[in-house]
Amino acid sequence: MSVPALKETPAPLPSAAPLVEFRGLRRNFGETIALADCSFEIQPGEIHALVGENGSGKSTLIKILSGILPESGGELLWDGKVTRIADPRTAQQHGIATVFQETLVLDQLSVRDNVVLGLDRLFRRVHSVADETKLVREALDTIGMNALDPAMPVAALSLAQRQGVTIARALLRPWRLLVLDESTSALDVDARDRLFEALRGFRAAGRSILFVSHRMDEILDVADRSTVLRSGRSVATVTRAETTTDGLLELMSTHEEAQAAEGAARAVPNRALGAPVIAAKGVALLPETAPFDLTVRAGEIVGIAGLEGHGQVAFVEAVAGLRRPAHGAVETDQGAITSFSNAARAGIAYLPRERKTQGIFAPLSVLDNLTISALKRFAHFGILAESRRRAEGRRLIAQSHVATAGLGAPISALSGGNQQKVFLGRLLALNPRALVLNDPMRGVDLGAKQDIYKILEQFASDGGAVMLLSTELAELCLLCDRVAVFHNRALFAVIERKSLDVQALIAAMFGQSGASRGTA
Amino acid sequence: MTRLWSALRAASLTLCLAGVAGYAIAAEPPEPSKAEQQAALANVPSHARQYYDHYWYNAPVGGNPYANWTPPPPPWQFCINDSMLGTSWRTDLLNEVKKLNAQYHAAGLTKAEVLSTDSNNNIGVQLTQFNNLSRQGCNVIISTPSNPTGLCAGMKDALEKNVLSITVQSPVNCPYAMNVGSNQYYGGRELAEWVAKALKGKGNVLILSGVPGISTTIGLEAGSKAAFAKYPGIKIVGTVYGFWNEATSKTEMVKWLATHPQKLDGIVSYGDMAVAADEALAQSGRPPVMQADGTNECAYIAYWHEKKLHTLALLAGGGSNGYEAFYVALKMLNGAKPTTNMVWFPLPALNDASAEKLYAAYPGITHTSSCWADAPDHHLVADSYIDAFFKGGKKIEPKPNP
Amino acid sequence: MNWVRHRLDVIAPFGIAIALFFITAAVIPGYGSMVSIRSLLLLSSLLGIASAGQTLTIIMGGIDLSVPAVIGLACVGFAVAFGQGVSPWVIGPIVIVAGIIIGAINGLISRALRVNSLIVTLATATIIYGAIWAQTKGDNRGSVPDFVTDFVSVIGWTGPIPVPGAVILWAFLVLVFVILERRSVLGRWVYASGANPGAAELAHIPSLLLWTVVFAISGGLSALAGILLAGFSSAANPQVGDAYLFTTLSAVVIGGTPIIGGRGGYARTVAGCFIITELTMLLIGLGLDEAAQQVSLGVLIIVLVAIYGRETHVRMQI
Repeated sequence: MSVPALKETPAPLPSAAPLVEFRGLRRNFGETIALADCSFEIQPGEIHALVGENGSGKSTLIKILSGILPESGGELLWDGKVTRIADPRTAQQHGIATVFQETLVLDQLSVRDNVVLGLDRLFRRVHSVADETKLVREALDTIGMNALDPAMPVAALSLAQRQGVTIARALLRPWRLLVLDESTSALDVDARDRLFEALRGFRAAGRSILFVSHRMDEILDVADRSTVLRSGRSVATVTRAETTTDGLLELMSTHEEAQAAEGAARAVPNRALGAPVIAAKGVALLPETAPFDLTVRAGEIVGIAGLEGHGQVAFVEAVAGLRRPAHGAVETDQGAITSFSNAARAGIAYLPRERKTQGIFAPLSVLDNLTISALKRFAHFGILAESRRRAEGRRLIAQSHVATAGLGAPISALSGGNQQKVFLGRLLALNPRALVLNDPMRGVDLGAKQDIYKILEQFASDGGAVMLLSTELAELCLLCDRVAVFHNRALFAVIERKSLDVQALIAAMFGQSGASRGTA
Repeated sequence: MTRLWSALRAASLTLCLAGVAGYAIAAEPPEPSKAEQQAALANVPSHARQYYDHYWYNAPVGGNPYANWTPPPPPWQFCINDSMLGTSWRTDLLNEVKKLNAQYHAAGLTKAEVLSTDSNNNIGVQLTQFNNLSRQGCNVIISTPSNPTGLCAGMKDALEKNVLSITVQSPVNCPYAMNVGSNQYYGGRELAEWVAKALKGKGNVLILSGVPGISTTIGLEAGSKAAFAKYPGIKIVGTVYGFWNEATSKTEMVKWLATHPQKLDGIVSYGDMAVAADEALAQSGRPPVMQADGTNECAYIAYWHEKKLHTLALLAGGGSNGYEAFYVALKMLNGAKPTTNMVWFPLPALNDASAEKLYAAYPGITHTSSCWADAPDHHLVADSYIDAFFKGGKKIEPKPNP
Repeated sequence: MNWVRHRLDVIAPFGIAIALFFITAAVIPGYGSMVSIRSLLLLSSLLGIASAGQTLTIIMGGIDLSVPAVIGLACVGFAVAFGQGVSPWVIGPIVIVAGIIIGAINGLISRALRVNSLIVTLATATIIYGAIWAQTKGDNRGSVPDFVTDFVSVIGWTGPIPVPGAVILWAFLVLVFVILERRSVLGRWVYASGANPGAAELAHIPSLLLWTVVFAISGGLSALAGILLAGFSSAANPQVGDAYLFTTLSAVVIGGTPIIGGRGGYARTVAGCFIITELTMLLIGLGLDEAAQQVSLGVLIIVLVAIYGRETHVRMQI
């Protein structure tokens, strides 16, 4: 592994004892390793940024720090003492206040009640309503939201205002370490600047902030130091002086990914492109986001990438007919897609993200799972012609490379990878013109991944169109003719095969215009 | 989401289970001391005491709850506070009271309309409705409480407002109302005695009871068992619960017969279940047996006529009960003072001969007819029987149909 | 190990049904007689016909609590109309169509408004009971044609076969249902919908149509059961079906169809119907009272569910 030059540069900060220190912190979920080896420290009076792409372990680390998940190994030192943060209460007692990525608010309660949530006892208010209102106003003022009426129900607020409520809630606690997990993404520029100003004030008072953001400009703006996580490991901690966008991006992309991408680049697919199958025209996901166009042709595999919550999932769901864009339309040769069934009639087969809850029918057989969407084809007056259905089942098993004991076996007896292949087989049974896949490689073993690659390449070679949303960048580099990268809920860049590598993808995902912006 | 659904479904199943299992609550009432019994029965006219056998199974008997009550001047407002108008027994009662009210209205003695409420067997709702009626100027509230204590507060309040409360076949356990009806224990005894005598004191008998564990059933069963116990040759071979429902009675009877090959000679049933029992016998290849039932359903009368069977049936139609309640109200409104709060009477027994007469009074009925026959003159007992429970007051003049 | 458990699932209810018969025959003298067997068949068939629609709705992930109300409505409607001189061949189909419409509304509302069918069917049941009372004012004078009574008579014959028509009808219904479940588009949709409602929509299963049709089947069969019970009891009683709420659900669960749906089948419910009827007959034969019967039935449900009805733990599914 090549070690970037920036690694392990000691931070030239006042040499006070660190507030928090992580020493080889680990966390695994069964076989999956979410956090492999995380070591860094946060000094008192420091704004410390945590950066990394999706699944690099940021959220896991924050959950351990907030007492939501126990660590599987390693140590956490608080004020120099080894400490276990067993539950959120303990975290609060230590002075750790966390603002999570999801805006956790209770819609029916007022702004005031949401902000003071948890400060009161179960049956008794600790403060009078007037005192509470005053406290809430002060907290909201810190982030420039003093115009917000504390008595208003949260249900009536905008996303940014809800985010403000959750930040104000954290600020009201007697904290020493404030953890902001991508909680600035929804704020408008004004509120964000006020917040940063407040953070600097806290820093001056000797309090610490752990700050997760996907915006390079924010990191460059406020962070004293930044720690980069990659595949669950802390690969580097850099000081403000050393921090550059390119440097951070390079640290984030893994060596393996780079290698895989290079290998893939050598095998350029040679498929004939046909007419457009899916054409997004002037699509804006939200009323205020920028409209864009994107076309997928017959014989083409178009990748979709983006950091969590940047609009790529919403776009894919719009293509599948599960939601309507704010402006514009996704069109096929049958006209605009308006509903899920209408998309299906236009030949679009959609594979949802959650195999367990949205995909397979666990107690049902492999055959049923393969043919459930296409049953009418085998029916005479509602009664199934079993021999024809079984023949089709065998064909689909061969086509999808499913390893199974038989058509009658329950699908729950199959491995996750084989279940996913059956699920793909169900889409193929519809004889679609386009496959729209929402992260199909999630929780799939390596062998099955190879099979799924083959299925997709075969489908494209046979003249099908594929739209592939994936969180695994190497895979996108390997398979796709082009990758559309989303940032801030809009299409940010389309990276063509010739310039496609993990580095370019990450840069675009973080909104860096190193990649050429273009539409097709 | 899926978990929520399954939890809801599990909850529903539990509720169903609890609903079926939750009925067994009432227990055998304790027997009062001899002195208490004598004191209670001292309130009852001597000729009626025989019908108060083991009265504590039905309700505590006391003195006049309306000693300090002054009858209001006519025209009187009659009201009905029903727990459940969904049965024809109750609608017959309501219609009889309305009919009588119209007759007395023509004579200027009652208001034109009878106010009525229906609580759908919810005692809380019934109490609210009762209170509303007593506030709306009712002079007499004829009620069928779905619970022997649930209306007591309302009745106490009504008594203070000079409103007369009368219950029909569902006595209350508090001294604030007049209770008109019959003694379950006595009825159960009478039915069983007839079967025992019809069998000449020898044979296997079955009790086809109603809903297990409720006070009505407990009283009826205790009466029957006491009667059978006097005949050493009679053996009670089982108790089957038909829930006063023809389909359930027949299902349970078929099951019982399929698992009890011994000879069966007689059945005592407590209402509207005898036809189902006889059909179950016939379909199980058994001969008919001596049956006594507390019923007035047309199907029963027609069935016994068609099959030429012997019977004893105790008639207790809603209409005739309504008449007795109305009569008691009139007595009191005319200034008569009752000796007791429990006015109980024997139910008219239908034997082979009188059953034929009743059959003739309802032309065209068959064993599948779902209607209820009532005594033709709507009297369960002679008015003079009721008169003996009262002292003083003006004589009641029957009023013709307007 | 998995294989054994899978087999035990299927075998247990049928094994218990057969074992119960022989145990009862050994313990209760006369139980092996022709009359007793015919009683068992008839009572099981009445329960079986009433449980058929319930089985299908539960597999689909719904539940139909309106079964007793529709039975009551059909019983009263049929007997009252016949008592007033309407031909049974006119009122019979009308009553069944009414049941189908009520069921269709149940399914339509549950699905279209995404309200739990438990609540919708409970509400429908209340409305039906209310409507019966509003219409008849509790006065259910009626009668039943003799051929219907004979159809559900223990000693009835069907042509040369010494069992009443209801039993033959039930046998036919079992055949139709088994084919429907295993070999029809509707059947496969029902299982898929119950197994994973979230995935069903995304797999292009027309859920609204499916729920409407399945609840309509349940309503229609409940109405049929109501007519048969009118014949069985020779009376028009809106409460005639009350016992069938608990017993139909028990038959489905005891047969081994999990209450959360997606698995099981009507063949299992058939075993469940026999088990319930046999068990109550055994307990009555032993002279146990009503309370003891209920307790035993409850214990049996728990024991059987412990044997084969357990859900895989969430942990094991991940």
